[in-house]
Amino acid sequence: MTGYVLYRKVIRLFNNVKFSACLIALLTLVYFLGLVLPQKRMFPAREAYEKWVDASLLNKCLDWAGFTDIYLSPLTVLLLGLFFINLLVVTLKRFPLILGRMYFSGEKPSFRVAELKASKSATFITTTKEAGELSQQLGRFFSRQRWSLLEGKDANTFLAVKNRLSPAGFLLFHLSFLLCLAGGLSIAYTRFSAKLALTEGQTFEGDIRQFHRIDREPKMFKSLPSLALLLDKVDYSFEKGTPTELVADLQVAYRSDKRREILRINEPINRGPFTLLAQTIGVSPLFIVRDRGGRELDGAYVSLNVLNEREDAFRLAFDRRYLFTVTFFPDYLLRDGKETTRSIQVKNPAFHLRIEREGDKIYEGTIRRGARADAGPFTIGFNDLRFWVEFQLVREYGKSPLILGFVLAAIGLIMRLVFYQKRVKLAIDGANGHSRIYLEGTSEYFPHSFEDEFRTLADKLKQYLEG
Amino acid sequence: MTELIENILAWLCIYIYAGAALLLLTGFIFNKERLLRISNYLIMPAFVAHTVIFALRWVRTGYFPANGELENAITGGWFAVGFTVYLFLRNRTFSGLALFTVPATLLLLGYGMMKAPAPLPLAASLKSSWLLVHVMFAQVAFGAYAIASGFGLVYILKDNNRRKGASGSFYEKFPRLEVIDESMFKFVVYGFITELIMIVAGAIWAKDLWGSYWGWDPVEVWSLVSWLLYGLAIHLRVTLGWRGRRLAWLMIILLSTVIITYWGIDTVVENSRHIFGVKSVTQ
Repeated sequence: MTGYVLYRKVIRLFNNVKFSACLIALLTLVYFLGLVLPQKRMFPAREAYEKWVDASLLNKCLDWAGFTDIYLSPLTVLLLGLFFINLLVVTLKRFPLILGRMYFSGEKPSFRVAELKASKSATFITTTKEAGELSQQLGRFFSRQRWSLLEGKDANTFLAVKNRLSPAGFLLFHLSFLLCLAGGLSIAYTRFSAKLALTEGQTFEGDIRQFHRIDREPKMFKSLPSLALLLDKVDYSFEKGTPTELVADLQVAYRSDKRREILRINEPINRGPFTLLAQTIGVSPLFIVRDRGGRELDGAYVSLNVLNEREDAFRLAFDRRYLFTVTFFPDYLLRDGKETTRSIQVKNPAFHLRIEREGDKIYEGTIRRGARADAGPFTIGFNDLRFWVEFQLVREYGKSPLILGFVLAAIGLIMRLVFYQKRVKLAIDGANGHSRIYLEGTSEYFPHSFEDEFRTLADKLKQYLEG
Repeated sequence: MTELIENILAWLCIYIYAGAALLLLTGFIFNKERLLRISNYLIMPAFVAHTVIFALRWVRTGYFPANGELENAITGGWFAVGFTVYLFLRNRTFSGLALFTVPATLLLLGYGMMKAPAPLPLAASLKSSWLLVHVMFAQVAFGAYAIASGFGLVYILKDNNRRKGASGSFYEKFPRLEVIDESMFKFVVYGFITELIMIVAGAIWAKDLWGSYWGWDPVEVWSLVSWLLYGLAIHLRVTLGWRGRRLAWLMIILLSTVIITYWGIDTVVENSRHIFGVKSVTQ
């Protein structure tokens, strides 16, 4: 008995609108806190985050409570869980009520002729027609106006309903949240997301070690279907320093299906559960290091993030004590003694190069394609220049329920709030060629705005009956 | 030549909106109904000029004006003032609405003109069919919420007057309180639905651009926060019967969440994905 009472209390709580309002307010507060409190993902590296945590007791508390990853914190998950239980309970509890509001419960609308006659907001139409003929005409009139006409419990009473199915929008809207939850959870648990840098001519054969960063590992369906890529060519354009186009020409092999595909920003490649997006573009010069005798010590395509005159640095395998810092000029020009570029298009590429050995500068100068820089124990130059693209590879399942949820949410809201129900109670009174039709109209949400529409409808009905 | 016409019209718009805003304020403070009427007749030619700027910018750049502060101000303001003019033409008693929408549009346009009046090249990240859908619904939502706030303000002023028992024809010219209340709710509903479509369109676009439907970006979170709060307001009205003054105050306060989402975040936060330009591809 106690268990049953407790169950009833819990259900009553979850069915309470004030409880829903509280949950929405609390979730809003949590999302707001996520904008104010420092979040783990905002730190450039894990070490920086750990340093921040150790800096104060408050930071430690925030970290312990999960508030630095607030959207996945236990509190947020708990609130979301409660919110969705609330949605489910409300939807199930309201189901019979909604059927009733759509007049599908089998019960006829109940009101008395006397009530309508006494109502101050009711109006009437006088006619010489008999009740039987009038009821048929009412049916035809409201059908023409796209209203449903339902017979009332009492004789000669009717209820005309516009947008009879509108209450179903409530169900669709609440169901959409559940679908979004299902889709969102499926995506969260199966999502694999990683970054992959490919230089023109380079391939990816599905080896996970080739990813230079894995953003998200799946908790389910951990093995990835086979996917292979070959980056053939990259093209890009800039206007006034703004990147306006990035085109990557690729060969994509998914399972046994091999195809050539063009990838652009906003136009990812979608194959099976995979999505491949282009994220960043850069240049990959082929740097070759030779000793003083001209023997090749090292040579590699180095992927640099140097477009827009940004500085980048790298080390080479032949001796990791040397640090090479470069600035790139796609179309090199020396103007008033200052190095610059004519445009962003690669026409006359050059690198400003600074070489340091354990902090001591041993060379600084500019090298063009084919030329060599003399750094003392070795010389370095670049003969070839290619582009590299950083791709983001995403694999996830759950798109369909999510999109369906989005669509249902929009349809549900429109059905419920745009095509809201309007109702007109009708009663035929009198006999022997002296009948009156009493009408009283109301609408959901906007009863005052409906007054004009109701008057127009009554006038139209009068004309129809007279005509 | 087009640029010159656009500039002249933009400044003309700003000056007329400024004049109209002054008349509206004076009219409301000193209960001068005539000033309200004059301001509304001033707003209409300014709105025509605003429409020409909107169209010229679209034709000149070849894309829906949503790139940079000025274009966002042109589009957002166009919807807000457009709703105001439409309502005024339908019902002259709605003239007071402009008190809210015209000064807001004036400030946005002024800010945009000072920030970057020249059209910017459209970044690769913005070259998508979703741009029009996402931004247009965002601006319609803003326009609808601004109008709802305008109705809220008019409701409170008229109700204050009624409570004081003050006589005079100034507030009598406005619609009945119940009509203002319902109109306010209509625009909240309109904004709520269009904001949902904006969020959904944005999520679908985000999947193509960034690889995920939702990234907890500050702009995304704020739009969700504002949508949830407006949803809460609708819930309070429909199920708990909140209406009148309480709802009117709520509408005025809630508009701040939309303004923060659209214009506030990008000026304060640096790590938003919604800042488009050079770094969106080369970083």
